[in-house]
Amino acid sequence: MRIQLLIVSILGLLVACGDDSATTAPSADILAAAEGGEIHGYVFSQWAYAIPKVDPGVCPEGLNITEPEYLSDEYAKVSEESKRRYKAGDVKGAISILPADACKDPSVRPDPGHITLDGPATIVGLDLDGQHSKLSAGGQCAHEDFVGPQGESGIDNQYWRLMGCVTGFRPDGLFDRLFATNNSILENGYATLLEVQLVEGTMESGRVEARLFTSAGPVSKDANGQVIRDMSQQVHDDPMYHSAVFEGEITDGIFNAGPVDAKLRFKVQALDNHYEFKDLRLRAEMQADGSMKGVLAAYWDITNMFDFLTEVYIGPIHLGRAAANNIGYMCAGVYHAMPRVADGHPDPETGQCTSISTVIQFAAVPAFVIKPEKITLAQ
Amino acid sequence: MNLKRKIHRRGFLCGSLQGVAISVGLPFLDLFLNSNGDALAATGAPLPRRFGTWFFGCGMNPQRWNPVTEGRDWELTPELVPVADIRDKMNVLSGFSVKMAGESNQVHRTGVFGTLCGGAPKTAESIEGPSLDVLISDHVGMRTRFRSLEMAAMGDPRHSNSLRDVSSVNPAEPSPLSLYSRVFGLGFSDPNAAEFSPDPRLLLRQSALSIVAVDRKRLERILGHNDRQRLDQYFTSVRQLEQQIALQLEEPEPLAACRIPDSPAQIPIDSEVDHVVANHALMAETLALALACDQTRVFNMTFSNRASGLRMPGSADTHHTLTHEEARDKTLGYQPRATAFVLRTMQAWTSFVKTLDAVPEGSGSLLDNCLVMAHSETSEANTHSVMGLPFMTAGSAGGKIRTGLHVSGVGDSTSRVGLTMQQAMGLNIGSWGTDQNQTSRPITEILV
Amino acid sequence: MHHFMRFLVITALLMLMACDTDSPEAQGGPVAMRRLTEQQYHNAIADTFDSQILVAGRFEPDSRRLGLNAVGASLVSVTPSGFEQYEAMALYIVGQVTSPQHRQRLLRCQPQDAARADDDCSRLMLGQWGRSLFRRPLTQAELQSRARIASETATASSDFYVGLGLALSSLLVSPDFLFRIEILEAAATAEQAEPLQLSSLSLATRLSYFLWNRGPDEALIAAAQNGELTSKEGLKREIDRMLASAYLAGGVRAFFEDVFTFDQFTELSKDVARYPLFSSDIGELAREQTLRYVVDHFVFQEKDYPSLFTSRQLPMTAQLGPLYGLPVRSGQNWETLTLPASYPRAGLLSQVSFSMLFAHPGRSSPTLRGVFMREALLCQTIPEAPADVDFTLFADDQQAKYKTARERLTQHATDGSCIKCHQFTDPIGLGLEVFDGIGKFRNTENGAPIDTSGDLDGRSFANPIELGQAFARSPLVGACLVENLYRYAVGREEVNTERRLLRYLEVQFEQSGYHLTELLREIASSEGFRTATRGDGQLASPSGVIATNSVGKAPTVSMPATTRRRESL
Repeated sequence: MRIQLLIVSILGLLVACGDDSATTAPSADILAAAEGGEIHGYVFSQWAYAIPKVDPGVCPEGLNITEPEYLSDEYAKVSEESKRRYKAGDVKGAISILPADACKDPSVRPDPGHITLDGPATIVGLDLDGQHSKLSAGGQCAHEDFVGPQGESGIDNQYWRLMGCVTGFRPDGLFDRLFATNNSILENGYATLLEVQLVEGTMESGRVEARLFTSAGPVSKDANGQVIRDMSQQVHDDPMYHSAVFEGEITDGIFNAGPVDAKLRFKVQALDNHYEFKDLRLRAEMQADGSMKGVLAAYWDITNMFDFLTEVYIGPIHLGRAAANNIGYMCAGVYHAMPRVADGHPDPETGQCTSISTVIQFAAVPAFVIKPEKITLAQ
Repeated sequence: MNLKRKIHRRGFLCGSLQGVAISVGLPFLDLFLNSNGDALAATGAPLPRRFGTWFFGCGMNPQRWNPVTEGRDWELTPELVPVADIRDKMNVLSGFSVKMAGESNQVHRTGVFGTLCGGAPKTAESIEGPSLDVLISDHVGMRTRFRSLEMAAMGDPRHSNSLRDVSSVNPAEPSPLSLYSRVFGLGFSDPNAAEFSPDPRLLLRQSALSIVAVDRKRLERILGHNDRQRLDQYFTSVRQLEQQIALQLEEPEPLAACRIPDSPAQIPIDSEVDHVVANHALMAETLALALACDQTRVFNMTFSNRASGLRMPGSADTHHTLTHEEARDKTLGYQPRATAFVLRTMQAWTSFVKTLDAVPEGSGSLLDNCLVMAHSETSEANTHSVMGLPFMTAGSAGGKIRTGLHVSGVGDSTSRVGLTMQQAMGLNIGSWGTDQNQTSRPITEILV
Repeated sequence: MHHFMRFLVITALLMLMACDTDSPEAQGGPVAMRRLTEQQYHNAIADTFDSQILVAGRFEPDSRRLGLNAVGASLVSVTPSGFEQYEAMALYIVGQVTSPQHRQRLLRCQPQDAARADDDCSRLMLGQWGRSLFRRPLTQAELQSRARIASETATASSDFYVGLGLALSSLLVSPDFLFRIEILEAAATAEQAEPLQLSSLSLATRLSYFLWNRGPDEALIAAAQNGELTSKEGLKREIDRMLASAYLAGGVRAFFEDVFTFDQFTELSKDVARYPLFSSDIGELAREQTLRYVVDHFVFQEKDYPSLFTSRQLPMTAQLGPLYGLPVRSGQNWETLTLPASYPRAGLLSQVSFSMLFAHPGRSSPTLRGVFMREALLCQTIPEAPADVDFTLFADDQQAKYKTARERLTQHATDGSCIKCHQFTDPIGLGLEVFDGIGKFRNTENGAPIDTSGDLDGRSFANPIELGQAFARSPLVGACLVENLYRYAVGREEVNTERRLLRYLEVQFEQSGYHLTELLREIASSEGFRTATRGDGQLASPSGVIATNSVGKAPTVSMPATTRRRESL
């Protein structure tokens, strides 16, 4: 008997409170499960932007340059003094004489340009808009779909168009190396939780309702740095980080669910923000050990995306520009390029698209999703 | 508290407690709290024991640095080849991590302050001091002229990780000359010429123990044969401690290796690696003599700063920027330019250890009576990883530490390293660290 | 069949005893001189000062005899390095107590002038602290010598607190503090016939360490000084008070921690490649879980001993959840789950603490688990494995030929000399084989199904839950608890004159419905507990060869009574 099945049989268990021993009512989810069928919880155990290893696409104009390269004359004038101030401990002073910081306020200078990846590439993802889109179709949100590794057509991943010609996003670049350590999960102050309730059928083939949460605390790691299975994870206090219920199905061991809007909190190194995803979809293979592995595809709100890229702090110091230099783009360039590649959620008045299709590769292992009583369960 | 005040031995006979002399006029207030460390440390060995940290920025490449084999005769790895000569005098401690539970990894801070303070900093501004060296110097450093000496080979006084709390970081000596002037300039007095002053705290401890002995006769009368034997053993233990204390009340041997060095040569002070290496070597020589003359028993050397600013001659790229910006060489599998700094760092560590080892002391060398902990703020700097941080120790702490070993911590908290350092230096603690980084397990493999 | 025979004998004996309802006259054995355990030292400091005074230092390892550190404590002394530690701890404690931060709170008097001696104030405090640390009032001579050194040192150092602290430090390193030294009633002379009474103060100390694992409180010392403990009513009143005290939980906890050999958790390590879920934190929590379970069961729920093996109440904490595959609602705190009938665990033996403690770093061990159950729970003695056993069969437990531990053990224990012991340990140890080396549930080993069926001295079981039920029904568990608890109480093996008392206690325990509190009460009130002989005879030779011959033991074999950790299967 696998633990996963065991869980079902123990869902009837009564939970009495601790030590100091007043008995509390059985928790909502456990009761609901006892009445309404199986609930399967998961905690995300891997998270990485899809960066294609094979056929990432070509950048005929080269890769993007950084601000110190673009504004080399202006930097040359101040760099000695800035370094001197930095060395003397005056970090703010050192930054203050640099050219205006477009990462704090992108309107400080005109568009310096940004090289996007316009040609074909082979990249994982989902067909979010249900169409085989062509740039040649024209219109404000026009975009060119990618082809997947298995030849799937219609894959929407405009984020790769935006970042595909940035040094840090190229294969074996900074992000690849970061993701190799799984730092988005292991160093994250929060975890991402998925709850799947079986409505009909089995977990091999059935209809489900699902919900995404940010957790109250980080994942638990075992001695080998792997995410621990079957851990009880509390959901975040703030309902902003609880998605609505969304529908899904499992067919021949493939889980498909969505769309749903979700905010997923991340606090990793100098970054403390959340992803604001719209019309998010999940597609994952159910694994024999009870875990799942697949892709999360969604439209990423561009305002949030810019914040996510640039709101980087170490202590009180805004280091968005340092991060941009490090990764290999200019904030102003990206800012102006975003609307050009945006492919989702057109503004009802202007028709300008406000979100960018994005793909995350993820894995998730079984977990208990613990919700306070006051949160009502999915209807 | 100024316990340096010289008291002539004959001046002790002012009050007398059960035949034990005790002097007047010393500030006693907190003597109990700090009394045991150096006293016990000197047990049976009149030579002082010293502790130091040796910090280097931006870590190493774990696959190329971490030894694969454990225990004695561990196999050298590509990035540890430079330490081959001193392998028997040092240990490698791999795989120890700063554990984070909800705290985010504050790049270039979490690793170092998690290690030194026993817990990951909670916010970008906070550090839960004091640091390890301060804890140890509170114990062993109170009687020497300097509580501790901090040095920065890159010439920046802010390159110091030694702190009592976040608002009181001990500034580093930024040049060989400033270190030299501080130690051997005004205020230096030859310890061998000074009159010996036994620690009055030892006298107090002796008199407390003498009362216990009075109980012996009474107990012997009421105990059976076997219990009397056990009591005998207890009193044998009491007597042994009394003898240890008596030994420390005797005037120690002169510090044979203590001499005043020449003023150091002047080399440009900047972040260029050749200059840093040369300045570091000069500082190490001055430090070795400062230790030999017992001017301090605790030191902190910063070879390169957090987010290492080391540069190669003629290059504007720092070690830190290279770890982020240099492409990984496809064939080699690592960043060759950034890695060159790792090798230079390991060479500098080797020369530092050799410098301490070159000073004779007792039947061995100064190094034998030192415990130096080398550490960094990241393992792989490219990703700011604080998992599997690199640690090395050198010296045997006056016989308290085994050397020549590689121990893998398999993900255990770095607090185990800090706890081990404190216990080896005679601190009377059973556990150390906070939250997930709390531990009561020292690294017994290297503790004697 | 001989199991059954033995059962008959015991039953007959119990029936014989059953009519004897008065606690029998039973001269107690020799007085003991017991070194404080680490926990007892901590308790003494907290009781003498308060919980803000920290204890920091390494304690000498305890020594286990007859399966109990409480007995070993009567045999150990203090080594030179151990004494160094005691002295360092004393100085650290004194430094805190006399520091400006704490002294206002902890001193009941202030010196007239902090720069001078104040004999009245130092006498008052040394008398108070001494009474708590020595568990008796200081003698005139003891107080006098300390007061004098306090005075002289205060004058010499111009600091009252230095003098007071110095005198206090001499109390903290004294053998009268570090050892609980029992003495006989002052009237007892060499000529007087036995039984000799323990002195009232020694009896008070014995009572409080037995029931609370800490020194006597003011009320108990006062009762002893007033002679109240020498009357039946007075003694009963104090025992009742102590059994109703919140300190009882600490006493019960200390006893079971000792019987379960849980001090071994501090050095427990596992092969993390095979058991990545294990960490020393998890080990600590597993230990805590079982101790909470036991204390809750006996003290708060007042349940009987047999149901300790079958209860479905389980204290849980989030970090242990993955090992059990159970959801835990609270993030940090403990909560008690009621396990459903379908869950494959119940009772003491299926808790992960035992599975991980009685196992090897990289695999489970039916033999170690069996040895523990036989020795600690049934008081049966299993000899050490011979030195020349070939363990290669077990070192490689992922081999193709013998997939499960049962197959490997069967292969091993066919040999005549091995089977003699393994026939006692393995059948019950294999009943827990569905719990791996850290207690995680599994149904198969190397792909082969695990068979957990077996029998406990004639009671068959199919799985860990039924094994627990078999233990609950075993006539030996109650008798064994009585034996362990009595030895724990007096710090030594029972002497001949006490055997009748033990039989009587077994009967009383059974008649009380196996309620621990009643057994504690019976032992504390018994004559064996409050009388003693002089210490000359002491128990056990240093080599530790102890013959056990009480009724109800299976294979009675002399063994070096060292620790139970052993190199066996």
